[in-house]
Amino acid sequence: MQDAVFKTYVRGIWCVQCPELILSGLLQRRGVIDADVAYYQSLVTVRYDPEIVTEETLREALTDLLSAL
Amino acid sequence: MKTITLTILGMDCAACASTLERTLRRQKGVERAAVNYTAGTMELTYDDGQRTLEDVVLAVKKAGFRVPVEEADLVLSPGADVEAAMEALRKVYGVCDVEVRPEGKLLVSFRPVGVDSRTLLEAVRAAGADAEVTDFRAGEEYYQLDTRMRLLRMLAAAFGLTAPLMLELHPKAQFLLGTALQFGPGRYFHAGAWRNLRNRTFGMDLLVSLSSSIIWLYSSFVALTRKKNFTLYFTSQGVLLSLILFGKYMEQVAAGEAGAAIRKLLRLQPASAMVRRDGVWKELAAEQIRTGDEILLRPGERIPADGVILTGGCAVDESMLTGESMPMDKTAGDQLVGGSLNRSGSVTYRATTLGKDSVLQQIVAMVRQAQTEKAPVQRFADAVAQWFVPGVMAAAAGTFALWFFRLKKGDLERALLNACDVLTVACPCALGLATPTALMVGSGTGAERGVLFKNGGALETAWKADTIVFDKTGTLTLGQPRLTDVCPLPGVTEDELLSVAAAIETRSDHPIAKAVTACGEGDSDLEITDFAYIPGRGVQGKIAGEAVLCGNRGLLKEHGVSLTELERLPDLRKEAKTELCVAKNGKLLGVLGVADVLRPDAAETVAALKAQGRELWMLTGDHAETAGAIAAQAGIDHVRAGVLPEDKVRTIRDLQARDKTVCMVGDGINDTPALAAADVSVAMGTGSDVAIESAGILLPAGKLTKLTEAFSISGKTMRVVRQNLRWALGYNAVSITAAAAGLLHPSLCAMAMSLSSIGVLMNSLRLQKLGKKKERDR
Repeated sequence: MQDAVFKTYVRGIWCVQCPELILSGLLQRRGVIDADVAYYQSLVTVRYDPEIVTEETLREALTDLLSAL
Repeated sequence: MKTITLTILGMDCAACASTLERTLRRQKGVERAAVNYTAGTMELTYDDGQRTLEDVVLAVKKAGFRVPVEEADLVLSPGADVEAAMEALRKVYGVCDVEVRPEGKLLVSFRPVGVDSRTLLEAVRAAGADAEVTDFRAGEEYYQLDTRMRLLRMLAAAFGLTAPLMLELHPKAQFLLGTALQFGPGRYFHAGAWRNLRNRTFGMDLLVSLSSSIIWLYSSFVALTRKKNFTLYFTSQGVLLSLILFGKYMEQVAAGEAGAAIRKLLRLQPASAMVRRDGVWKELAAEQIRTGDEILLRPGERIPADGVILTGGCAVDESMLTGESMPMDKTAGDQLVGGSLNRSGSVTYRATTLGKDSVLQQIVAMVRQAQTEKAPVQRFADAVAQWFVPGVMAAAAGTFALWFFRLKKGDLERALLNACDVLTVACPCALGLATPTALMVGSGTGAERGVLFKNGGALETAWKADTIVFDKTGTLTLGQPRLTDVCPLPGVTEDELLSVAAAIETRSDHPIAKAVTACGEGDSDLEITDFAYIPGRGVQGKIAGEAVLCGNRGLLKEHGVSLTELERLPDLRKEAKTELCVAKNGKLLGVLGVADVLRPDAAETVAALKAQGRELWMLTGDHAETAGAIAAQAGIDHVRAGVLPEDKVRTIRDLQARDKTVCMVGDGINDTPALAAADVSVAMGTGSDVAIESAGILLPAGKLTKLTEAFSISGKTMRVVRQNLRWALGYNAVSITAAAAGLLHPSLCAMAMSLSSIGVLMNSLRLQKLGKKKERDR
């Protein structure tokens, strides 16, 4: 049960509502343990269980969330 | 009496919050009103027999603010009784209207009193119909966005109108721009000032409005009448409005950040769950879950609702509750907390508590309360803020007089400008924001770490506790005693001794009783009568007509049982064990030894607390020898044993009489009077039972190290409050003097003032790092 973390800079966070939506979407995903969005740095940090979900899937999910904004 | 939390819109500064509070308190039937400007909410306790919710809404409107209306779309299942459903919905507290829309939709409008999808659905269900919520337009973020957009528009207009003023334009052109500024973006402050005056309060809006109006009036007069040798100050007016609006916008952003902890908590609730309906597993929306539903939980999923495990086993990360992310193993019969994370294993479980009474919602309510309640230091700040603005206005008038009549006689321009500088540079907001924001972030961060402050007072006082009183069983010790020794007197068998004790102890819930019944053969067929639990002594009763006692020596002595035989048995108390003497029909049968192990982090915590200069005490109903041994292991010097519940209160009072600030740490259930008597009360290891009323601080994790964390968070939060207050007072003293002395330029004043409020907010936000830092330590 080892955790994995990935951080990524994202483009497209301009409104103050955005971090909320991203967080919401990420936390609902199976396998995500914790997520954080640093608004001013546009940095998203996700801690997840690699046995349940892969970084690929999460990055895709993140892209989907961002495009929906 | 109803207590509700209402969203309030239209509050621009901390003074508005005080105004609203006072206005509401004056209303008949209102017992309590506490407004949190940063969160944009008001907690209200009122008599709903004397006043309705709409009365309250009207009162808020008269004060110049708004209570918004939220909406939800419902789709009824086919064949449902629409009329009945609408009736039922209208009766829900907070709902103001229900409209029928095309295609079988219902539009429900309600006030933001905490009505959620589940409440609406349950109302419809009670009326015999079923429905689905297709859209829910509500929530705090909804309004924050609205306010921010409004500010942004004003800000853009202000910048847009000020930029051209930087160029050397014709006076008439400048006049037009200045007028546009005054009645465009400037309106924001004029409306606020008007509201201030109407409610007889004095806020920042009044200062800004006055200042900008004076500059505009003077500049307009000059622009329209003088022909040469004059300076216009429209630029200053523009810069003033722009910078202050910018400051307000940043304030909003920071205020939003302050509420991050609660929002994160609410995000932890999954939107859907796998529920068994009619024998089939279906994926349903979270609000469709009913009490008693069977839910399937897979690895990696967040738990949708509180419940009890039926089959399977899993490992759960309950950090949203305890702050500890170490997964806890759970099997059939164990409780699950909605919002926590299932790390591994699959289980089916039955949903128990939903909605407002769920653990997650209770934590949110608790954090909100801690954020809104007026901590003592805040009341001081409010009192100062009250006379601050009139004081500044007087100072401005004085500055004008000083310059016009004395320093530079007849120089209207100079005098006016300096007076305006005074009005602009003064920052009452910093005072009003100093405490609430820090408390908000502090309590939110605490919750993230599993330290739940129930009110602002607890957050404020905790670090000051110089004396800590610990309860023994369950607090310093694990609270799960084990039976270690069975020592019958000659002539009595071990089985006999154990069975008698176990039989009588089955009726008691005390941890010691459980240790006995776990190992003994508690024959439930035996008839037990006249059972009584005597606190601090033990239990007594009759088994099949024979009198039985099971407790400490004090109990047996009181019943006249001879204890001389005890000398033939080892004194278990010397081994830090609890000695249970068992007697039947007035004759001693033997003793049982029960040992409660010290918590692994007890010694470490005690040492840390002692190093901070605190005096540590241990109180217990147990005998002195056992107590002494445990205290020695923990490192506590002051022990009072054989203590009855009343004595605990007396001990605390004695310490308080010696001018000590006492913190009582207990389990929240058995120590209620003592907890209530202490200056700071901490309930440990409550787990998912967060409804404990008696304590000001809850540590669900049950780890003693959380206690040091609680003091740390309290101390750091109050340090930030003091920094903020010192800054607010210092900044104002220096800047107002400088402005009066004519050392500052209007634009500079505006910038300084904005930076001052933002600075206070940013300083408070630093407390968030306390939460994040722990993440990295894991």
